[in-house]
Amino acid sequence: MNPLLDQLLEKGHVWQATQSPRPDTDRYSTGYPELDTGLGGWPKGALTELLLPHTGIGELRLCLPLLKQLSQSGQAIFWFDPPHIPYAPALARAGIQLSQLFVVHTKHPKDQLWGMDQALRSQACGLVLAWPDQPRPGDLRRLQLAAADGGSSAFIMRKESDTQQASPAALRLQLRPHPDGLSITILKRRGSWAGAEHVLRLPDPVTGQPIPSHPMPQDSPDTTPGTTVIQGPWAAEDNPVPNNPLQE
Amino acid sequence: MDYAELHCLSNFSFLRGASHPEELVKAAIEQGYRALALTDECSVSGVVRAHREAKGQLQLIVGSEFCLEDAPFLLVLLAPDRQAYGQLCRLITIARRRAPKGKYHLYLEDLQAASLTHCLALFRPQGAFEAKSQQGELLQAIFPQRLWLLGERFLENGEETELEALKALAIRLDLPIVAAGDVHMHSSNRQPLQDLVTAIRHGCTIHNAGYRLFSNAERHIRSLTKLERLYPPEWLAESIAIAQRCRFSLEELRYEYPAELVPNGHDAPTYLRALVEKGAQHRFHNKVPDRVRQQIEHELALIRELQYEHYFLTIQDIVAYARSQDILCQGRGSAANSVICYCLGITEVNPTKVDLLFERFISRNRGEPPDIDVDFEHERREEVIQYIYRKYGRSRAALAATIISYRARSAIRDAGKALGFDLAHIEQVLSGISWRDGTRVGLEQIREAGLTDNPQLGRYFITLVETLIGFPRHLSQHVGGFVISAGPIDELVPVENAAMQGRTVIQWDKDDLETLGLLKVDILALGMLTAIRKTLHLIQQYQPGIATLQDIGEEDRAVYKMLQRGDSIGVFQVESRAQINMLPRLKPEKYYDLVIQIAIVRPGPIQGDMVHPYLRRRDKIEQPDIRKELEPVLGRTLGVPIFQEQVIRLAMVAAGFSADEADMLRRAMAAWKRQGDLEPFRFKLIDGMLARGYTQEYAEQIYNQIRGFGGYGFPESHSASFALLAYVSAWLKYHHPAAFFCGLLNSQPMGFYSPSQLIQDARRHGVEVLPVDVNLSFREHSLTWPDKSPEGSPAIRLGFRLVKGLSIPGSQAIEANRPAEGFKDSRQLKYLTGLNNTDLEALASANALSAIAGHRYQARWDILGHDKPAPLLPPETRTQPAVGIQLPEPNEGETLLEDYTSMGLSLGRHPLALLRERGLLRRILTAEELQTQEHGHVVQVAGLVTGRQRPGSASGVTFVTLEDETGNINVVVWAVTAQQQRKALLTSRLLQVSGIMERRDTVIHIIAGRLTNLTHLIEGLTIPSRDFR
Amino acid sequence: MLWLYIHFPSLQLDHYQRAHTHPIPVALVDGQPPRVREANQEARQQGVSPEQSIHTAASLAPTLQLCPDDTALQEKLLSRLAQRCYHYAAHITLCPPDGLLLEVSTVLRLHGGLRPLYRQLAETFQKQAYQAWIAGGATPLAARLLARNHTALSDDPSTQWATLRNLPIQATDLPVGITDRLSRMGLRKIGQVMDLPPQEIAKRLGTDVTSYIHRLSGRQPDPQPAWSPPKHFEVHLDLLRELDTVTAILFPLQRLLQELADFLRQHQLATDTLHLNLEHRYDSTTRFQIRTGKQAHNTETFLQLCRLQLEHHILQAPVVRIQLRVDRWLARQPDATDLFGSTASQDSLQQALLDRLQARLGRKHIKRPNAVPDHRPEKAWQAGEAPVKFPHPPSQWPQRPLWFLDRPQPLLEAPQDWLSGPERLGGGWWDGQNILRDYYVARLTTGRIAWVFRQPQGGWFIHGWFA
Repeated sequence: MNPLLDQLLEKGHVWQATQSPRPDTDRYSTGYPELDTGLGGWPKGALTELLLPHTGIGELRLCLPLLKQLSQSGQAIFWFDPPHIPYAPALARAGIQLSQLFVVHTKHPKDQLWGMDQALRSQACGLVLAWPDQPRPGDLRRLQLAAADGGSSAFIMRKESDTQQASPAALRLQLRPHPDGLSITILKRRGSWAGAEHVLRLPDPVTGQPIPSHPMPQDSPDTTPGTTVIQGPWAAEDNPVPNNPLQE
Repeated sequence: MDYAELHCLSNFSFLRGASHPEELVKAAIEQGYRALALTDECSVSGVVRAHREAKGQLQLIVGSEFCLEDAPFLLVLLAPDRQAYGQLCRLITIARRRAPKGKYHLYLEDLQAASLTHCLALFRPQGAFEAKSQQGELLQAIFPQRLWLLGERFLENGEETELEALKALAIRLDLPIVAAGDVHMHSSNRQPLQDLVTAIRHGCTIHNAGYRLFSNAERHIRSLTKLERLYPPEWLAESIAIAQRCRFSLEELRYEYPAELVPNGHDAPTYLRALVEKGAQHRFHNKVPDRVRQQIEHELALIRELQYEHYFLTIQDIVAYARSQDILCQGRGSAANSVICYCLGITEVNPTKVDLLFERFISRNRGEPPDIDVDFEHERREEVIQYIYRKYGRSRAALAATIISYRARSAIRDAGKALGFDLAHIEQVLSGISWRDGTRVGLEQIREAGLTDNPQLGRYFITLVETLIGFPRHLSQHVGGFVISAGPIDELVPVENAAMQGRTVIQWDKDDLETLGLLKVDILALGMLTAIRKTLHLIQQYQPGIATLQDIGEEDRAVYKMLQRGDSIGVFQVESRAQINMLPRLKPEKYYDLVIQIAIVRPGPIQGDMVHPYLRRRDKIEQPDIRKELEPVLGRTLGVPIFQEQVIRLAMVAAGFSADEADMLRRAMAAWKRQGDLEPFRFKLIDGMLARGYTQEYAEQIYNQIRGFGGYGFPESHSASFALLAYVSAWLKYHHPAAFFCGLLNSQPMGFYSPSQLIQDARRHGVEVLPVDVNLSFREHSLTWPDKSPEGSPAIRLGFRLVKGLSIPGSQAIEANRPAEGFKDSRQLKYLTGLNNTDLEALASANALSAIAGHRYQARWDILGHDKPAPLLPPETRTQPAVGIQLPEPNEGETLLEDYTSMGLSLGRHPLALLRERGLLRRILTAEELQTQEHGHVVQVAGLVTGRQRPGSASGVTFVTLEDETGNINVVVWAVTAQQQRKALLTSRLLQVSGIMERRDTVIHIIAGRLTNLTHLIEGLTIPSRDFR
Repeated sequence: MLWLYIHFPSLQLDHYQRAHTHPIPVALVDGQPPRVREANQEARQQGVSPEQSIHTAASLAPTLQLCPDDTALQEKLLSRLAQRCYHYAAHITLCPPDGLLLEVSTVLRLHGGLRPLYRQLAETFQKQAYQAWIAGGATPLAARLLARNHTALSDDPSTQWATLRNLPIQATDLPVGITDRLSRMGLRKIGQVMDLPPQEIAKRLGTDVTSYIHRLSGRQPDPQPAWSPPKHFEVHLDLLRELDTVTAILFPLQRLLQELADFLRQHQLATDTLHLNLEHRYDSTTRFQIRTGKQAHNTETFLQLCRLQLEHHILQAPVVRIQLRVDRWLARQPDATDLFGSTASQDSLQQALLDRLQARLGRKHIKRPNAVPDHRPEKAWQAGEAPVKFPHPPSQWPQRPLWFLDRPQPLLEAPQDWLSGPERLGGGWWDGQNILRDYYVARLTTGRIAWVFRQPQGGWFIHGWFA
């Protein structure tokens, strides 16, 4: 491929023929209105990169609405080499059709790349979630083409340190944990560059319920039975270890 | 800190709760709870047990949990006072009565409509916040100031959110929250069993029960420390506040008697006295002996003191009704054999002949009710029951429940299924278990049989089964225990549907009733009473002087002689093989001997080794050594305690027990097999006896005899009633054999023997038995005089009831339409009676048409060939069918086959006679020939297997009864022989036995050596042997 | 017309016995309470007989294997045997539950007469270890009755009739009520009934009886529907004793492969894909797809292939049932080249994608996460090959983290916040993997929200991330 074209592709300056520019068909709603406003939705037929300091900060909650939407409409979702077990009960509770989920474990980066390529090109696959070890730009380009070819999307989870690496992804977001959810910095967005940092309220991590935008003030001392029990076991001596409820 | 648990389910919430009520109470006491509410689901079945356990140690609150059909919340109602308790019972009754057995349907409008003005309500709302709030408002309207939200924590997923919502709801509705535990078990150790019953309830296995199981073991009686950690203090305090409002105790329930039994101008005591006086004059022919007079006064005084007059009046009324309807009845139980009951006509046993212990049933201090069972003719008991319903109304009379509990078999089956074991495998293992030796052994065998190769499950399985045994499964109706009350019974105890259409039961069983001192009347059915009444009716035809039990001659020596020969087939209580064997040894020669005979041939006395000492003393081989003060107790049984009453007396006389202590001993004995709590009495008994100068050895011996009694002890009072009927039936058999066997046959099914065996016995006694004949028989078997003179001895004409497949309307049609001279031919029979082909074929096959239509094959063929009757044409005008086909006559073997298939018996020759004639039974002795053989000889016998018994008392022995053309042969198969020749023993229908002749007095046994299956010989006769019994 | 009837007196029992080299006592049981319906010879020798309660049966033969009477299995077996007869006669009729009817007059010459044909058939079934009673007759019913009553084979029509007439009336298919009536009029043999005037019989016992007699004697036609073989091939073997080594499986498998080879030969087909399922106790199944580059049609090739694939496999649990299925047919061509790969799959796109991924990455590396209703976190999910449906609406699943750690990690830092808990999870005693833990949700200093637990014996662990 022409190196220049490569470069342009990478920067998202060139639209590929297979990509339809119509906004209603080349984007998925993120399920978060403020994010839809900020990003215009998740790109379809393209790569999205999520860069995070470590797993488990809310990256899956961010994707859940899309997973739900795709799985319920009968599209397969392939997870390539996730760092942990995607926990089926939690996914089921979130309303995701488990029958559409496939988890693929590969031994070599080559296999992973090949597999993702196959999945992205297939009409059957709607979304690929991948945790590549050290993706090379060329590989990503190949995936970008495959996604474009198959009209499917890929979320590539990367290390925070890869921020500076060039990438053909249509969307690159840097995620950081935040007490209310996620802090999102848009590194790259097709057609425009943006550096703004958003705080996205994610649903309550435990209940899955949306957190009200104006949380109720805690005006009285909390007598929730639940919270009275909960104290850190590592507290200083004057803050005794919580009673172990396992003991009578 | 104080706490009262207000939401607690026992295993009377079937397959939900995993602990007995008693266990829950014990645990609550141990944890120092202030009170415990037993709130089983729509039931108060477990409260009496809990009450018994809690007495004096813990406040027990009666309540019940409900799920509504049309509302999602869970409701717990508590009874703070007597009115509330009545309201609760009525609500449960409403919900239960409209649903099939074991279920209930409760609707919101029931809560609104039923008067629940005194009940306290706790509820757990369900759904979204708004819905919950509405539920609360709705309940607030029904239970103003008597409603609480249930605050329950089980450390479950999502609980915190729920509790937050609950608190918000409490503020919104201004309702208090009370801490509760939704207790399902007394200890967290029950979790496996809790999981198991859940799986059983859902019909799934434990492996796929999933979220139907609780996620942890928190629903148990938790420690106060832990509760304190889980709940805010004000929630806990609320539980105490509620408990303090509850003042109701089951002790308050008093039985109120139906008032209508006492006529105007009388009160209960004077009326009872009047009835007794009238009866006494009648019974003792206006010369009441002084001793009887004293006893009457003593009994009346006791009854007066304990206010039991109504109870006796109630039974007297029922018995009087039965008498007026010519229904035979006979009371049983110690109270039944009192002088008063004799005077009231409740029993025929003359108490002057038997020394019975009146204190046993009326316990002066403990306020427990007397015990009277009344047996009625089994075919007519329903009339008596209907009378009770008519007299007191369904709202005031109901049957007591019997609580059906898990037994080893059902527990193994259900638990095995729930653990996912293969069903066929479970059955296979179950079938291989010898149950005789008790449950423990069975489980041991299961362990060996290896139902599962999963070691974890295997280990749990045994424990789970052992725990599950004794768990209640459902309520069934008691055989005949009626509770009759003055007011609506459903304010005393809830009433629910029984399995039988139109029957209802209360939620308590007889132990519960006894605990609360409530009275019940046992209305039981007895086949022998039917047979006796029918026999008496038959005798009326030719000897009108014998109409009632009183007309039967007392102490007839010839009758006892007959019994001493062991000639007792058909005689009440002494017709079993074991009894027949014992008769020639015990040689009863008076009424009281029969009382002993009936009680002694039982597992208890046999296991307690009381039979041999008694026999030795009776045969004067050994001298009874009875101390003087024990003479009145043990004298009549030669120093051997045989009856339950004697043990009680013994404890009183020899060890100084009070009447009440003795009564406790009786209960402990009855429950000994179950609980093994006889030990506490041991020291008291032995110490008491030592103090009174008995030797240690004698005291130990007495204690061991009590133990040997186990749960099998038979009361003298029951034996006395049974002995009376035994004597009566023996008398009838001896003096009126034709009428007696006819009466017995007309009361079938009952007793030990099949019609075939009874008829053979009748013929052995010289009674002629005539075949079924369409022109001479009736529905019932009847008496007939072949020589037409009523002076001659009657014969039995078999009736249509013996003909298999002949309908009752069919036989009625024959009787109604039979011309005086009888039917001419089968055509006339068909047209006059309108019988259908099924009935006609049944008659043909039974050879009942032989007089009018030739042999049975021809009769059958011809009858099917007749056209349908055309009502407009007189039958005579119709033409005969042109084709006359002659079928061959059946041979003797085929005749036999037809007899057995169509009637279950044959009056023709015995199959063994046929086989012998064909030379197939060489060197095989008949039962008759056996009589002349000597003790110890090796003999060969053969016969149809009519009985195969393994009595519980004789370890490992199988008794086989063989029948040949001359009589019965008794074979004893020892365990080793049985083991080695299992196949022949289990599968033969015609069995050959070579063995050793054993003779004692007139009793002959063959001790089996080799067993040979000869069934194929019968099949060779074209007789399917299954038709023989 | 000449009809041949084959009666299989113990189809299911033979089926169970087939997998074993030594005779074992087997009985079919049915009903509630269960009773013995049929018993094989080995069991009968020990005294087991029909109608016995399993109590009696088990006490007679302690090693007795009890199998439920399974009509579906019976049907399957029968049509499998029909397939085997397809070679011998074009017109086959299934007579469930245990018979096959062959019209043979047209093929008699081909086989050199009735006796050679009979011998060939008998040999075939013997080789397959099925008992078969075979008889010929002039009408379907005559053949049937003669076979079912295990009469000696005869190709002489008059002998056939004489034997038939002498059979007891119970040997017919007439309802028990009818035969009972007949024999209770002294009419015990078929011949006796045949000799009576039909109208007299019809009048007494109905026209069904006369019609039956007419069909038996040939006075009335008795058309038989022809059976055609199924499109796919599926056979299985239920093992009475569990097999726990691969080599042990090969013996019974060989029988199934032989059947496959016969089937292929009869239909002039070949295949390149076998589906072999080994079913384990407790309903789990190991599935093998055995493929060849080339088409194949003989037992040896198949066995070789199976051995290769199975050899490397370690059985996770003992095998109770072997199933062999083929639904992909190739015309048998001696010069067929590699057909694999170029054939377009008929499966859905998704299946195609999966197949590709599985082919390269290995089947076990592609899993579908299933949620399982089990309170124990480790047991609440499964990585399966097929999706499992549990009828639970989303809200019924508990609140759980999206990331789950295969192995709990020790919690090494003090959490910043405790968000919820404890949730106590205890249970699972039945499979030896019982747990008792208190779970909490805590925010760690890194900002991550962890699912941590503590056990009674102490120690804190992270078990998941609320990602």
